Amino acid sequence: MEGSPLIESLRKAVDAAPQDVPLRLHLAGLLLDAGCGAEAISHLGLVLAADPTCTEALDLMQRAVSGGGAIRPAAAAAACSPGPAAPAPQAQRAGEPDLEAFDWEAAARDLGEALPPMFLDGDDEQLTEPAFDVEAVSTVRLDDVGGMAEVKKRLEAAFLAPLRNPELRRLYGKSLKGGLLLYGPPGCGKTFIARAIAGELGAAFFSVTLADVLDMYIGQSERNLSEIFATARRHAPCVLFLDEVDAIGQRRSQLRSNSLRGTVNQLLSELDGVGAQNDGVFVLAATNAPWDVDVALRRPGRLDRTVLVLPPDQCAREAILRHHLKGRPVAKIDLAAAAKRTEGYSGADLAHVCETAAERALLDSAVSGTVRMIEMRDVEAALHEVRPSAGPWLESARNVALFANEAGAYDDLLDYLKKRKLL
Amino acid sequence: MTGLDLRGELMRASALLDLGRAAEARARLAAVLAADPQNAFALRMLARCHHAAGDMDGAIHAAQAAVAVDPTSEHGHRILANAYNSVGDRRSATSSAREALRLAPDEWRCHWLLAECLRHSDPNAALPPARRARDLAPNEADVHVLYGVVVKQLGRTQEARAAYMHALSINPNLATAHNNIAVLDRANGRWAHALAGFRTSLRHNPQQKLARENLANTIVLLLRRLCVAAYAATLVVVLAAGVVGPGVLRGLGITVTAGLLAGLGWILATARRSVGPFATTVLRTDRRALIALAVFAVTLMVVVIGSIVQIVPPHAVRSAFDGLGSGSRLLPFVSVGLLIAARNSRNVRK
Ligand SMILES: Nc1ncnc2c1ncn2[C@@H]1O[C@H](COP(=O)(O)OP(=O)(O)O)[C@@H](O)[C@H]1O
Ligand SMILES: [Mg+2]
Repeated sequence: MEGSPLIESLRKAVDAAPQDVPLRLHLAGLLLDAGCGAEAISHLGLVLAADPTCTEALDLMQRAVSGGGAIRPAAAAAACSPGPAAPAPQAQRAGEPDLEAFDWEAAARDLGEALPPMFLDGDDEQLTEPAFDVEAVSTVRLDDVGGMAEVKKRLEAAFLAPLRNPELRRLYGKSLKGGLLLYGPPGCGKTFIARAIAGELGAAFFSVTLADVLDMYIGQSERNLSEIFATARRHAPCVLFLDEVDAIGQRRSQLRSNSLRGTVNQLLSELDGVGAQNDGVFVLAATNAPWDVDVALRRPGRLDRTVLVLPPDQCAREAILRHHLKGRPVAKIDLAAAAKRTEGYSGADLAHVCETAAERALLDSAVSGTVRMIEMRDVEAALHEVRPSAGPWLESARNVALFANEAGAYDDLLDYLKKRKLL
Repeated sequence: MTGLDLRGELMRASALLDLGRAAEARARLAAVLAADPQNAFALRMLARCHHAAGDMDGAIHAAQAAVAVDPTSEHGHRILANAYNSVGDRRSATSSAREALRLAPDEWRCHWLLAECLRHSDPNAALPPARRARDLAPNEADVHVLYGVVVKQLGRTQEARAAYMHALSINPNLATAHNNIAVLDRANGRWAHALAGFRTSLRHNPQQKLARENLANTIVLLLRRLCVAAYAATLVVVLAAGVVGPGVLRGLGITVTAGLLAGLGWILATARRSVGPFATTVLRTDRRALIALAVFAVTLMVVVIGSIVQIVPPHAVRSAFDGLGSGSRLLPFVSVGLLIAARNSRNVRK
């Protein structure tokens, strides 16, 4: 990066005008992009010391500490600093305490030697993973999906096992067709698990998202439903994932626009196929609002199986928290205690908790100028701040379970609501 | 954003709104409006998004902006009228509806809306636009429902029922029509029909607060009627204790107790049969229902103890009456009974 003339000249400019916050932020952003996380952080720390609420600096700091530019180990960081590391400009405003620029590399070096355990969970306190883990960019795998044992089992039986074992498939005469609908409150991992399946299946996975659907509606996409199905059929055996299927397959009686209704009809006819056309194409769908899905889509041969994807139980919550803290500098986090206190939180809520805890720790580090790990007190503070988000969904679900549970379609939902005393 | 992008975003927002995803539609509109703040189409859609999300202030604000940018659009005035109407500002709603009607005299929605705005304060004035909307769009179920509501306000319940039935013949799944018919049934004392009707309404639209409240209120109403009957029975038993012998009193007590328990059994069975699990929820969680059940239990106990078990022997009751004068003794019973009977008349909404 020493070679980047833009960064070089910006460094000079910042040296010349230490008060220019936008300039410094710009430099920090470029440094982050260039992988010089440590230097970026030192600039961001200065900005935040002067104005702890500067959102742009916070965002960049967030990026620096999480995925984008994880705090690099000293070696990596050293590679991109020219000569003496981050120049330490003097404090900006008169009357404010002089803040020494913090030597992040030294800190990282020191910490690397004596790291406290990441998680406190009884038996295996000694985790082998380094705390400063540079996030490997890879697709999500099923192992990354915390909990959801029941859902995984259903998916395994419905198509994963048959896909993996064509011999068994032939032996039992089980053809890969039909469909399965995942439903449940938002943020509980429906899309996430589908992405994990995609990671497992690779080329045998096709997906249609809400954005695709919208593009189809407004005719801005070459892709249309029949082509998507045709592609899937060509690649059989495979899985076709329809995310937010309440959009593409909404109850026709609810729709005012004819074109939207036309799409539902088209989806229905594609699902039926002609003859054995759809053999080998398994349709996986997901929705937060199955009650908005056209009933015709739930008939036999279409999305005839449903799986309720619930907010994670305690074990799953622990796994999810672990997953989201894994790539971050954490110390002495009592995951079991945190998991116990998060009944009713969705996977997304838990991800948000981790995010918030990290934000607190980094703001603290930036303001004080001393790096510190994400600790249990950060997680606790985050738990106070982040509330479970499933409330409105549960309210709608309750009404549906009470009044529109025809033919027991929502019996599992009813059971869950009873168990949580929400009826 | 270029013109093409703007158009695409507007179409996406429109599709999202139609799909019931108001929040996502709003996000797209925000981007459009940042690029083109005077886009009346986007402003109108924004108002509808706010309305759908229950943010009426936001809806009024956006609709006012839309009308300011494009005062010639009847749709803009209609959206504004609708928003005003939702917060109960009938005057502003009516004047916006009239403006919309002036711009589009043959649009049934304008007549419908004007009738909807007027019916709260003056059902007589709402009748002509309601009728006109029905004549202009006889195949729209909603116009028949509104017509039914207006004539019912005028006391023409037979005509109202016919209008609701007509609406159902157009759209058998129309939740409001089912609810309104059930309200008429309840007024006629056809309890089981009413309960089933509210239930049907909720099956077609489980998220309706109104039908849910009507359902709970009907169950509570039945329980309160039962309480009134229990009070009357207590009165009879207490009075009888003064004049008849213990054998007769016991027979009376057993009859009354059996009758009251049968009444309770009927209510519970009917509610359970026509309402399903929600009946249990109401009985378990609705405070009014719990109070009514408790009061019923206490009165029933008085009857049982006083007449069948006879812990207090009849001659003691008799002498107590002689000493005090029966009128003052009964006053608390009578007054509480009347209070409950009076409260019954509330909670009936349409
Ligand atoms: N079981 C889980 N394990 C790990 N992370 C999860 C899990 N469930 C949800 N999450 C987190 O929550 C986010 C939102 O989940 P998502 O799959 O989009 O929810 P939805 O059910 O609404 O599709 C995911 O990106 C992931 O970070
Ligand atoms: Mg999703």
